[in-house]
Amino acid sequence: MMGYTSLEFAFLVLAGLLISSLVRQQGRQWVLLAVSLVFMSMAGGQWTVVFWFISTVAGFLAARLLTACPASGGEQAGSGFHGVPGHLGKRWLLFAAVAFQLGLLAYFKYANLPHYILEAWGELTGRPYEFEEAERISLLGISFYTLMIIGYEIDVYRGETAAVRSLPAFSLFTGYFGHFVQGPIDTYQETGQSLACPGKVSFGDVQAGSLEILAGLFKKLVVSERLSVIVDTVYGDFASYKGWYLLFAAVAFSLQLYTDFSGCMDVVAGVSRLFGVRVAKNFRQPYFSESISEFWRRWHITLGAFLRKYVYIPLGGNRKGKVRKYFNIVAVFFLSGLWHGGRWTFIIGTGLLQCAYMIAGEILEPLFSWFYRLSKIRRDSVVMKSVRRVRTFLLVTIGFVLFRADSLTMAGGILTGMFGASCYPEYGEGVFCCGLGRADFGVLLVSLAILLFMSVWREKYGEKPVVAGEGRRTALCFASLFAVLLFGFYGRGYDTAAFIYSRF
Amino acid sequence: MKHLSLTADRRLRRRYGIVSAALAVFLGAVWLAQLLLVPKYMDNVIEGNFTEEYYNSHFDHELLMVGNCEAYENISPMKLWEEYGITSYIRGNSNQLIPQSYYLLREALRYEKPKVVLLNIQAMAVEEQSSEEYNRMVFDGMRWSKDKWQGIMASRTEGEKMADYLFPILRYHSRWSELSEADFSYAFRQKPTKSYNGYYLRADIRPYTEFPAERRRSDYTFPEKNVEYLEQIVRLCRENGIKLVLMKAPSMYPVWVDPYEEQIREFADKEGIYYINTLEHMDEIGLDMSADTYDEGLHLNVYGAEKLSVWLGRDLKERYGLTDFRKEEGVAVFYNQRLEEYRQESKEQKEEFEKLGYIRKYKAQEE
Repeated sequence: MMGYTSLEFAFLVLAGLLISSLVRQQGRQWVLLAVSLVFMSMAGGQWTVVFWFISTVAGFLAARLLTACPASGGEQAGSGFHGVPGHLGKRWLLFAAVAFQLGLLAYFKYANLPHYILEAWGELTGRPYEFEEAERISLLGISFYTLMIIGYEIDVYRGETAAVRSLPAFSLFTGYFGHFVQGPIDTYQETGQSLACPGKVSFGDVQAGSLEILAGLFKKLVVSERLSVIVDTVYGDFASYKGWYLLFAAVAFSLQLYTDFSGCMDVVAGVSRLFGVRVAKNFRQPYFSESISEFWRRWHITLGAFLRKYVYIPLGGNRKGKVRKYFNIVAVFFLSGLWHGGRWTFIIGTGLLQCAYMIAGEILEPLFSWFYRLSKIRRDSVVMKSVRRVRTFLLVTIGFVLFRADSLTMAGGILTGMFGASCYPEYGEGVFCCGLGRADFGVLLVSLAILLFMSVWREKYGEKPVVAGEGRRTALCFASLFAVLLFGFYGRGYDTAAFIYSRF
Repeated sequence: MKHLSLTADRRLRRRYGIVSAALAVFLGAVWLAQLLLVPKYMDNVIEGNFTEEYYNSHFDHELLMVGNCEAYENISPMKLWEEYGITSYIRGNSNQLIPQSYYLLREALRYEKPKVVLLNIQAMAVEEQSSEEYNRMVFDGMRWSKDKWQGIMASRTEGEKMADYLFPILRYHSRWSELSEADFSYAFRQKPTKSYNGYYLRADIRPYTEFPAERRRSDYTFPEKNVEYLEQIVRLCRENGIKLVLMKAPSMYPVWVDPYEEQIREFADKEGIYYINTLEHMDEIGLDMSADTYDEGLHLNVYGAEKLSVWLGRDLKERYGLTDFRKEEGVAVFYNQRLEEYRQESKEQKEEFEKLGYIRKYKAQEE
């Protein structure tokens, strides 16, 4: 299967860039569409293409119909469908359009949801519930393009964006290879426009895009894959590990998830830049967050933005009192957890637990303020900032233990095991008992130091290049490529499509 | 305007210069890294060198043998030389499949035209390659040609990519943490020849014991692909006026069951090809499996291989009139020197085995 780290993908991109450079500006969106279709069929198979096309056509037609419907004004403004007042017809049309998209998503992704609920209940009550998973065709990217289409339909309904007139242009927006597998969940206003008319690509763009791709490959192949060895080893036999080793694996998974997901985002952002397309940012150094709410504004930014815009604010946001606000937060995080696949490990790990943190943080805020006043400790001091960052990281890590665990029982076992005396299985070898040899451990430490430096730089200087000057940047490109080539985990036995978020 | 255009032109040229220079340095670094990282097969699994070593031989072999370990561990070309003056070579490798033997033979025929080709047919029963590593040992040392390309395509395992052969660094990049002295020593210089005209010398003794019973198969028919490639080998030999001999070496395991024997006999009869099942001539050859095998009956050691070579050489010489080259100085110088080295290593291994009970360089491999 073709993935973002495969040679096939590299060749596809190179071929696309070559053709793109030979055609006129107007023709470049057709090249992108062709590349996207090839990628989609090779990465996801025929059914992925078929159902993506059905969703896309449905979204396109719905938007056209929504535009054709009178905006508002009741009966005087004219009838929509069969004598139904225009605004009502439009609302029903939107409802039907969104329901259709969600229906497809639910059918393919949440067929087992009732079983998962009973399974979780069984785990909690000690009466295991066994079931046979309903078989569904695996559709790549459905969780991502469905949200993009829904967002677009609502924007058209609200009049925030005009309905696209061209089906190919809309197809490119929903099926663009750069956000098809793992997002970002782009909006038509931003990325759709950029795709319809790709910008000119300068030498600086080529350098910056290449460095972004290499940063992504570095995160994924050098860092994330090494961390996955530790995580898989410890979690694969979690009953034999206790204490620090389980905490170590939990921290390793938090870093693995970040480097895996954000690495993929860097690759697609870099490739997009080479084509003159800008995709939305999905990460902004999330582990530098000082609070849970800040973390979720920096982590999977586009999913957060989607839920905020289309769920949290329509529900009233924070404008209707505290209780309603808390309810809205719960609703948003529940949906976020649900979106990850319906298992309760996701719903609790990245959903309910996170909103519990946020609500607890809000409730306890007066206590914190009182503490700072009383102790005369400066809230914005470096030490306190660091303490809050570590606290936030550890809280998020607890949630990610659930996210990674196969079941609530396993997550419980890991979390309680962290408090036991440290031990590892007999076959382990001291600190290297977690599956990674000394040499790879060394590479991992150096890589994490580089990653930390890159993150601090981004946090401090934003998009400012780490290295100035064309010559130095070119040298950095090739040096990075060499490092990835040598120290990356790839090749035989490695699944190039195995990004954690491509499952969702 | 002219000044601006000149500046832009200069900037463009500078960029090309920078990128070209960086690319050149990068490619150089990759090339150097690749030389270091590609396995040298010097320490224990020396079979990885066998394909490559063929190109250093004198292409004047009257007898060319092809096949898997049953070929390169059971027949000694040095003994064939010493006894009969036969010039021979074994193009064999671990788990070498019939399609691979075909492509190695086809390639060899571009360098030389032997009188006789002997194919060990045990691999006819092998459905597919058990591990990618075996394919790498067969093909890594092979020169790039249509034969290599098609050979890889015909035998690659799932997930095995042509790109990994074209750019070996993609396959071996992770070896950076396990580089040995040999990797550095032979990254930039010629490796010493490990085989004796393709023969894998072992002078240790591990007597034959009963092997665990093999899993019974519901169907013992040779895989269709193997039969097709065997037919291609027959055709290739006929087209080149070469006599083809099929042989089953005296390896006790994997068991050569009756259905295999029947199929190969039927094939040989139909094609009019000489077929020898040495398992039926063990006494005649003089093989004593309590002393003539180094791995409990899987393969012969040098003592067994020499016995088989004496027996086989006599038969082939009489049957096909193979030339005695011992009096031809140009050939004899090379073969006699190699024979001396062969005798020396044989003696050293024997002494080491008598002293330690094992041969150090193969200990790790066996463990």
